[in-house]
Amino acid sequence: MIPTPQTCRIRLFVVLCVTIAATAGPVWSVHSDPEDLFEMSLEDLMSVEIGTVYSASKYHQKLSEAPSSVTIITADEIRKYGHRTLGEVLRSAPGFYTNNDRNYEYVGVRGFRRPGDYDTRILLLVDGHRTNENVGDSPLFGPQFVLDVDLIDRVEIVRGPGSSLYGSNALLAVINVVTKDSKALNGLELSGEVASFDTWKSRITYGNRFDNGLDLLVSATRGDSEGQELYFKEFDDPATANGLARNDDATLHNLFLRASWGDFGLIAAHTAAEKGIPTAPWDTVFGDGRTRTHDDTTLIGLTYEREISETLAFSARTAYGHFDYDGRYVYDYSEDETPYIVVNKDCWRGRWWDSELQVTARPFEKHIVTAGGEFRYNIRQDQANWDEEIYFDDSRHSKNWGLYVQDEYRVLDNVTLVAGVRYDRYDTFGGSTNPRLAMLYDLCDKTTLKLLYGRAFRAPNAYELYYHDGGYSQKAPQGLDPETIETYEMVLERALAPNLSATLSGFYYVMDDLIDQHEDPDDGLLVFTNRDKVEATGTEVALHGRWTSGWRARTSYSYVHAEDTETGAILANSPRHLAKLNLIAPVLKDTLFAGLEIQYNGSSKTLAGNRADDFVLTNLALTYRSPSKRLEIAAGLYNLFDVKYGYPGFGEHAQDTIEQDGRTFRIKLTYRF
Amino acid sequence: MPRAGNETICHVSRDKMTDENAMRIGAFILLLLTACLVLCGTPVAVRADSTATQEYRLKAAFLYNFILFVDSERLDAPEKNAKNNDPNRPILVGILGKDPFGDAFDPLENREVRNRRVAIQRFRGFGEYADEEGRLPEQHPHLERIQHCHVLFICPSERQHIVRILRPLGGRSLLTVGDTPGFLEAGGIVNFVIEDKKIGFEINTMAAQRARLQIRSQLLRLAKRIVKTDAFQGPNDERNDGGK
Repeated sequence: MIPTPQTCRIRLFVVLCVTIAATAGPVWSVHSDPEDLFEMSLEDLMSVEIGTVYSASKYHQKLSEAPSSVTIITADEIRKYGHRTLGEVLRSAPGFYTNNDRNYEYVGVRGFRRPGDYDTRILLLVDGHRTNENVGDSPLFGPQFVLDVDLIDRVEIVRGPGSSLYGSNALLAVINVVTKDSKALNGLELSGEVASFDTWKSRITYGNRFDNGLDLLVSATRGDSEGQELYFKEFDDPATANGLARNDDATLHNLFLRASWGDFGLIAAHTAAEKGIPTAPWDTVFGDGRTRTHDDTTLIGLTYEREISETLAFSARTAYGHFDYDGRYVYDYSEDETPYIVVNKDCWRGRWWDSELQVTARPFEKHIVTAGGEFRYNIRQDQANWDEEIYFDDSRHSKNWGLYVQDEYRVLDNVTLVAGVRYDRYDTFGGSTNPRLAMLYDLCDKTTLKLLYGRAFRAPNAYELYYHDGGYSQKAPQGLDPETIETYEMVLERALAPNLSATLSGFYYVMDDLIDQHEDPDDGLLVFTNRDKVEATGTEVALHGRWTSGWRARTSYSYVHAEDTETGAILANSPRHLAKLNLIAPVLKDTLFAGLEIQYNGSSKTLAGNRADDFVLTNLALTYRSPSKRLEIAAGLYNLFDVKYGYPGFGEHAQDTIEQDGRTFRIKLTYRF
Repeated sequence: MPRAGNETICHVSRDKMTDENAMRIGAFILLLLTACLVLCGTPVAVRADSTATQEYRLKAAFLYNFILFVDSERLDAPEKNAKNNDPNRPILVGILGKDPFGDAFDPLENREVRNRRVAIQRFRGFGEYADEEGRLPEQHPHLERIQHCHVLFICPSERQHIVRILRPLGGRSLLTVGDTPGFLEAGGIVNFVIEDKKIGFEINTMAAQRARLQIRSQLLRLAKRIVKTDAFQGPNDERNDGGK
């Protein structure tokens, strides 16, 4: 290999890490005072969570032992910060940022979310089941997400590549959403909320653990919003209502069931969400209420977990996924005095079965071996676009499988090596092999150093492979290769006190063969190709504290520099600086809590080469729970200081930046019977 | 066309990228080194033994609380019939098996509980006394010393030997604490459980009675599960909702 500046940088990075590991271990050792644990009451001791995470290695392990940089956000935090969508939950995690085009909510990780991509490089799981749909590979983070956020028990965020265990899409992060069971709710709960812009939402949930061992939670949610009148200066013309759009409305339906009985677990989740699109994308008619999207997601998953012996555990899961997307886009083809309005219809139909078997064993004393196989059958991957004539109608089905193995080897008392590899085979392009290597080193008392290397891939999806519009502006490619990412990361974790921990990480990643739309010089048509290469370097510093008095704090700063390797250009929609502070303060002991979020989002480049300004967003929530824990009243003020800010628009938008909400409120009432 | 992804990268001239890179790397190294220093602090005595995890630091604190909330003749006053009738005799906490506590009890050694010192005694696991053919002795070779303890923590490593350990302790006024599913059913008194990533415990009141221990209501109220199993009778278990 010819040494390039990149490989030099990697080497420097590795040398640095090794030096620190070699020198720091035996010398530095500090004792924080664990004595105060003996001062704690039993009640307090029983309320301390011992952080464990499943997603990073597919078995439950402590955070410091996970071979990745991991953040966990619990239901309690979601409630006390008044988060309304999964996107808002993720936005509080180090290195994460969101976009909202007033149709969908998108999530960027570590400087990567190019305008127009559908978050296909993030794998979103619910209780271990994949939720990225199988036509365009997108997870949904806004109201279209398959669960009501109130039903989330915790969100496990694993940064970095996860393909060595999870296969495709796990490039930037694997997010596993764990749902609540009857431990969270024993009985009936009713919840209602009202928010700005005539937004209403109600939920009914019932949870119980029956004598025969059946654990059940069922829930239904419905919500709707009138939306607000929005002004877009790009459309400030008498012909387009002076830039005022009134079609920001939304409706939402959720159904959820979780049951577990013995070693079996079942979840069934369904969401139907509809949204008016006020931004008039794709040159549609401005302000027309018929331009809207409807997304319908269903996920049914069955798991079976069995501990065969002390050293052998077995698990199996199978899931059926169902995704319908229907878009209606109104076009005005009127000429002179002849009105001619056409509603263009765009739809995706995805159906899939996904099954996985996994064995975790401790064949020798110092090894934990995880091995498994996954088979996915895409029953339908259909796309169509039509109005008065059919432009595109494509039906596909495909299958893919993967085999993986990972060994966690405790070399010394304070050194653990994790090595894993997964091979995936696709009908569409062939095979992809993705390894992961990690070294976890307990440097000194309560300090863990993690050195991580990983590779991940994303298979080209049906949309990229087959979409065309009959040779009008876009054609289908001859075939595509998977895109890949390679990352090098160092994470330093330190428990500063029993209640306070710090994390520092530095990372470098290269994404190659990125699938992108470009113009074919031969015929001038747009076509997806494997062309771009992106490189990024960055650091994250985070502090996390929780105290038995009820105080909790999270703060982080991330810096990332992501550029296109060919051109040296900084990526669009890639804020260099992100800083956040999340604070929960007990106002009245055990009953009233204040949750404060302050998020700084650095400026980022827009598609037109301008800049979306940096901004500071402040959200404040107050949560009161009666001493009997039956009644809960929550009030939230979002964008407390009414800051004007916007996210970069996408290629389909006339808006270079899309302005976001000013100050809004939400009041929520929940009662348990 | 709707939903046609249009991903474009903005183009900016590449100026002085190498210098910038060098500076970035420099800044990065500095940041890392500073952080290492700050995080690790100044050198303090190096410990050879492995340190306890957060889980066992917490469990050590639980054990300390158990001593406070359990009453028995032996715990209240130094044993009058003991040969070594010293009022300063410490409360003995035995740890049997592969010790997961590390240094978690260190702060306790200089502290008084019920006006008495606490001393930790460690016993090797049952499995380590197997003979060459793998046969285990009938009882723990240090049974007598074990019986002198006031509290005995039986480590998860002893999972397969719990009955063998508990049986000879039957008549002793000794609080047995386990860390293994099924510990109560085997005749143990208190057992740690983990629910929702939080540490809790369950209590076998029948076994406590047999050991002539009075468990205070504060402790009973917080138990996740109360079991009334006599080793010779059928189990009778009830979920404890008193604390919720």
